[in-house]
Amino acid sequence: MNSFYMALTIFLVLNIAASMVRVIRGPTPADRLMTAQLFGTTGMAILLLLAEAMEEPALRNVTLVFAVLAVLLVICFVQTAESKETTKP
Amino acid sequence: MNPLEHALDTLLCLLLLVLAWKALRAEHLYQSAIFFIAFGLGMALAWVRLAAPDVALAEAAIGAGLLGVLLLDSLRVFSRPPNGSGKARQNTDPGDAETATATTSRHPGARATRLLATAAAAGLAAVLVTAIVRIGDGGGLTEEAAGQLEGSGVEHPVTAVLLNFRGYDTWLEVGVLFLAMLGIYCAGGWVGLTGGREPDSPGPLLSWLIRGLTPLLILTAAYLLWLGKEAPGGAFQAGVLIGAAGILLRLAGYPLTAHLSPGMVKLGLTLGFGTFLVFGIAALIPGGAFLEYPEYWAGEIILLVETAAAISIGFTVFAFFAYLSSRDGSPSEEHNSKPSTTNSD
Repeated sequence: MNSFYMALTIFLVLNIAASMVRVIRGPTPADRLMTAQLFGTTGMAILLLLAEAMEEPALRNVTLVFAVLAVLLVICFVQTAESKETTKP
Repeated sequence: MNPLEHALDTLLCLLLLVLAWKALRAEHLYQSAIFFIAFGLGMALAWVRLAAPDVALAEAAIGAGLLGVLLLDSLRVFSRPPNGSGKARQNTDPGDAETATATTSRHPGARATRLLATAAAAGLAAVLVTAIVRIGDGGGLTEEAAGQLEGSGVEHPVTAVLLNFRGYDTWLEVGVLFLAMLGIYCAGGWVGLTGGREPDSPGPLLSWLIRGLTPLLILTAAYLLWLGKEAPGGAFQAGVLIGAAGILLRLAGYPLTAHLSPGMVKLGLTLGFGTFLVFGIAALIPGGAFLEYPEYWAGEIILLVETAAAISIGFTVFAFFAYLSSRDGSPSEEHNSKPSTTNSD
């Protein structure tokens, strides 16, 4: 079972590597931010898998911290984009 | 260790190197910021693989969660027109040089900065390699710390070391954060923290989100604080979550600290450092050493000190952000007269 979790983890890490293309190509800042969010979600999945594979329940708390903080970035981005729109002539 | 674990570790190392490289050499600062956020995530995973969940937790809270928001907001405040990078470069602070190198290759000072940074990184790498070689396989002071664990008042060895055996270090760390905050406010004034923008009315989605998420952040902070006694958790992570709750409210136009009196804000900022100091000096009275807690009360004292430290760290983290977000509205500041366009795309 551990090998199964590990194999899945490797697959997800490869996913992160693949999605880097979107950060480089964009084309819009929103796309790049969505990629960052995808990194976060994938990272949480990896952490949960590793919590099982490494038998380290504390990793679930790390996931929790990631999860509650992930949305801050989006709100910050949206507020920035909004204020940019309103200040533009 | 089975081959799959080897493959995962190798992959993580490669990913971290690529992410770090891209963060330094991306076309736009916005891309750099995104890569840096991803790098924080990769670092958290690396700490997990190194069997250090405590550090992974701190990295998750600070590196991946908080720093992303600070970077995005800094970009907004310090962003400049993409064509005038050489000219606008002079206006930026020296501390900004590290992040600015990605776009300022034409500036004559950039080369020197880069050489200096490379030399510093190489020097640090040499020191770290020597340290790794010297440590050997003995495991350092692990056994000694585990042996003393019983009298420390907590069950988790990392918390015991941070708050009891090496409480002095943690005390000074809280002091460093406090100094950083003072530095920012010496340069920028107090107004960002106590004043703040007029609350704009948040949209229905945002206000729904805030109502749900703010209690969750505070609850998670309290949970981590309490958990620190027996498992990875503790003051720094909890403090960052408290600060994140403040940032969330601020982003939505509820400047929390504007409702507190300046005295309360100052109290919040200094509480952690002060509580450490009070208990540290109190330990001197019965003839103990500085910060040497009596064994019987150690658990309670540690919880109290940690709570105070978490509140202060929360206030400090919020102060960093409040300073940044107060810098777009006031026309008196020189930086703000520039048009605010993000230089991505």
